[in-house]
Amino acid sequence: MISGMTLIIFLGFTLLSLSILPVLSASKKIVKIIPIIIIFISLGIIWQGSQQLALTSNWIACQPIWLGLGPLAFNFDFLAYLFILILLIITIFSSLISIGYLNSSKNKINHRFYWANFVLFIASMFFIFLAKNALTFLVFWEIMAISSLALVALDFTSTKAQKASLIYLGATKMSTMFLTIGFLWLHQLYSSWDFANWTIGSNATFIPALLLAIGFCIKAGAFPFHIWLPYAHPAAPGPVSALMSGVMIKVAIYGIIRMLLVNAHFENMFFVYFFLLLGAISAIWGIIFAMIQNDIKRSLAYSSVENIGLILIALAISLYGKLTGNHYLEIIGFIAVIFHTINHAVFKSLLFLGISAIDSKIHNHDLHYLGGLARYMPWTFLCFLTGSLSICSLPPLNGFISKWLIYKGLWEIICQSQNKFFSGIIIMIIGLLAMVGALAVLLFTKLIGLMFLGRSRSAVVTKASEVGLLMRISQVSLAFLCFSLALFSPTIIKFITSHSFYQLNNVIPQLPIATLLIVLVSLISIIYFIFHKLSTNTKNPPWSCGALQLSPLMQVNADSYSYSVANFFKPILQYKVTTSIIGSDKRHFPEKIESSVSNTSLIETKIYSPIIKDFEIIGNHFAKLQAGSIHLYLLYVFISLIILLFIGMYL
Amino acid sequence: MKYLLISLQIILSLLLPLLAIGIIRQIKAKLQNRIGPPLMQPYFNLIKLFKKNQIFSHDSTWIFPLSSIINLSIVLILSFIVPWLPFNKSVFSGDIFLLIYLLALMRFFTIIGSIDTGSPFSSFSTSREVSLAVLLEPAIILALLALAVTFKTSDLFQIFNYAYSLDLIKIPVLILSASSLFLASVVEFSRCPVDDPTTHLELTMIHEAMIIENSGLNLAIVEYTYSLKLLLFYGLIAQCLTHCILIILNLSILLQSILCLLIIFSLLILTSLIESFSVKLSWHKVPDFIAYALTFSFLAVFAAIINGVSL
Repeated sequence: MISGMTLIIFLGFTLLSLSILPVLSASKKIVKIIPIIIIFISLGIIWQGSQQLALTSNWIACQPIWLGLGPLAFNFDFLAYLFILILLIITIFSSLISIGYLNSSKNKINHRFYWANFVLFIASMFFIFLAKNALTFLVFWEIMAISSLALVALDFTSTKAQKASLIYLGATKMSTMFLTIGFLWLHQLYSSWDFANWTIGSNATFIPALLLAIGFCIKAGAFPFHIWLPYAHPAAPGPVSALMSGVMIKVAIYGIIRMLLVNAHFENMFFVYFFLLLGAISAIWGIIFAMIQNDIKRSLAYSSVENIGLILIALAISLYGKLTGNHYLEIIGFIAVIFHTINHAVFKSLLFLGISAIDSKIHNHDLHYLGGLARYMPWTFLCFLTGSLSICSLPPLNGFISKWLIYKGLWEIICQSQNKFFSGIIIMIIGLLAMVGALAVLLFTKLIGLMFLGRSRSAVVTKASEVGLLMRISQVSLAFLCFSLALFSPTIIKFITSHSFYQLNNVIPQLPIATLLIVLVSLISIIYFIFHKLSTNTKNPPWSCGALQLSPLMQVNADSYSYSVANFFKPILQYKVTTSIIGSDKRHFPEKIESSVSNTSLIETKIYSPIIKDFEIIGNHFAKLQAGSIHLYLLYVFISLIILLFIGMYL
Repeated sequence: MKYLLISLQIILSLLLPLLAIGIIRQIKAKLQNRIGPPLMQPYFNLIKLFKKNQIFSHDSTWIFPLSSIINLSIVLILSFIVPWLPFNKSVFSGDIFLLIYLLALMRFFTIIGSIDTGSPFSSFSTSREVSLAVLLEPAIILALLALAVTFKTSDLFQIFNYAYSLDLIKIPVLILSASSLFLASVVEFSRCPVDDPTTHLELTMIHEAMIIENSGLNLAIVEYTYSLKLLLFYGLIAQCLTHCILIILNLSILLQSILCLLIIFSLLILTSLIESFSVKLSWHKVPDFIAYALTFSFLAVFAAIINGVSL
């Protein structure tokens, strides 16, 4: 009789070893089988995990499998299961869409290489969620980093992908560095690698906790460590972006929850302020940069920064509740974190899958060349619309519920706090979140409007057709999930609270969202059917002041749509519009008018670039040491020998 | 009794909105020495539009006709979420965050409906609309939050549950919030001086240009949605001001309702006065105008915090 835990670990290792399959065999059939195996293993793990939710179980590898200083050890509990559930659901749809995406991709992607890394990527994330000690965590953390890097660098011949993978590599290495130092420090304090033996929170553990927080924030893409996201996402293939944005950055959130929230007992409010500040800035910063991008994938990457900001704010709420001993607030914050993580995984993957679908037909994700796609890809449009409504956190979809919980949590802080200044700041954060919400509406009406509606801006679009069945199924299922997460939110909230570490004392406030949805849908259909019978309609060209035939270029475009708002945030965006008019009589008969928009990320140009440049300069000086002359090297050997001798004498 | 009041509310929300538009137009006409359209003209227009043929743009999809219907449904739901008259009872929820996000949902559909037409006028006006919304939404939410903090609940129905308290310190918050909401409503409904709903210069308009492609039945729905939303907003402002009086005077529910309707009426007069005596602001000055609304919201929040926040 195998225990359930062993079965889960076994399935996980099967998944991991699956990555060898495409390397070993060159046959094309192998590549076709892999997604099917992935789906079956995923379903198996989900089912097996649900069987043993009530108990926390450990699994420690036997003696030969030893990670240097500690065992390979896993731990299954409810928190891990929640994240595994997110991972595997997104994996299923993402691998389904990968099949169609790879076949229609314009660039020659090596299918075997893709699937090997894809499987490795998923399996490593799976094991991170299960890791019981720091060493296991770090090993799989690195596998995750390397395999996702390989997927970002898939199209390694283009300079764009090269730059993206370099930046991503730098960011992920920095994150590992912070984590490693933090883990070593904690090991030094507690002389154990096991997470369960660590109690972070006392003043002695302040610096390692901060290091861990920074390490995780880099990986999560929170401000000011977010710069790798807008490079990595556009370079990666669509289904991988869905996984990276939907799940990988949540791995970091998982780390924060596990180490700094659930197992920690802080003595001062530092981390509340830290996450609150970082979250609020990430939210506004991410969305401001998202709305001026013309590349859809870049916009979505920046919007991930925004959503990570919201999750961090929810984390701060929970932490505040824990610190002040307010159980109710702690639970609201915790549910908001988990629920927004689930929601963001679902709708962001949905949006990225929609873009993969468009990409597979048009091979272009620049907003200047799209438009009118709704007519050619009706299913994709409907799913993208659902995802957009959800990510703008508009009722009655799932995004609204988690955002509402965040608002409720902040509101509760205002009610509880004795400190008037702090309440004032929280109120301002609510105002800021309202602005973020309005900017999200701007961004996603821009995406929907310029991609799917209006008149097509290029001829390629008119040749597009709806994607295949598999791609449609995965999109529709995720869109359906958006609705059901909203409809069954009371059940889900109960599910989260019943199994978690918290005992439910107060009732979590809930909106009658199901009623709202039903009333709204029935009202719409009643009004529609009444008026549908009343009206007759004819089709005409849109109003053009009776003048000329309208050109598609006369519609609003990506730059002009966000122009006014970009002007509000000019200092942050470094937003510049340059127009040049060419012609002998420029004023009356311009021959050619050109206009271009530019913006720069100040964090990148003013902070990161100088640091990297300094490192380059220092590196160049050090490079002189390695001049390639044997004599010099012999001298180094001689000098170091003498130094060592001296040290030896005195020690 | 409760059902009677709810049905009264439904009847009022069907009849009053267009009357409000009629009142604004009539007063404006009187101020400009014109005879002006009859008070019931918006109703006649609506009936006329119902009979007319709808014209859709070549480029539009199903989103365009559906967006106006969705907006109508949302605004009907909103009439139950916003306590715009003193006798309104909570049937659903009066959560301020729900209110803000339902407004955002309406904006979302208005915008994508307009872009769907492929018309340059409407798509450019959507850009203006959404830019203003970015500044406007914080103003509205902060004004409502100031009320919430003062009355220690985030449910609008509990905020306006009319406790006679003689708690004079609440009056500044109520007045500041009401002023902020009024300034916000000028922007939200594209009234003068932010936008002139009566001009015919599509290039500079916000709301009217956005609905330029709507016709017939579709236009009728949009017009009704607009006026009901206007009434709900003014009702909310009037509730704040009525409450100010109620803190000092103890009135019966009938008198409260009459008072509230009178205040709505005076707000309509104020709107037409502003429209008669001011000119449309240049587009670049509009953000400054919203800044006043934001300032009032900040002051309201400040007053509310000074008042004491802990429950």
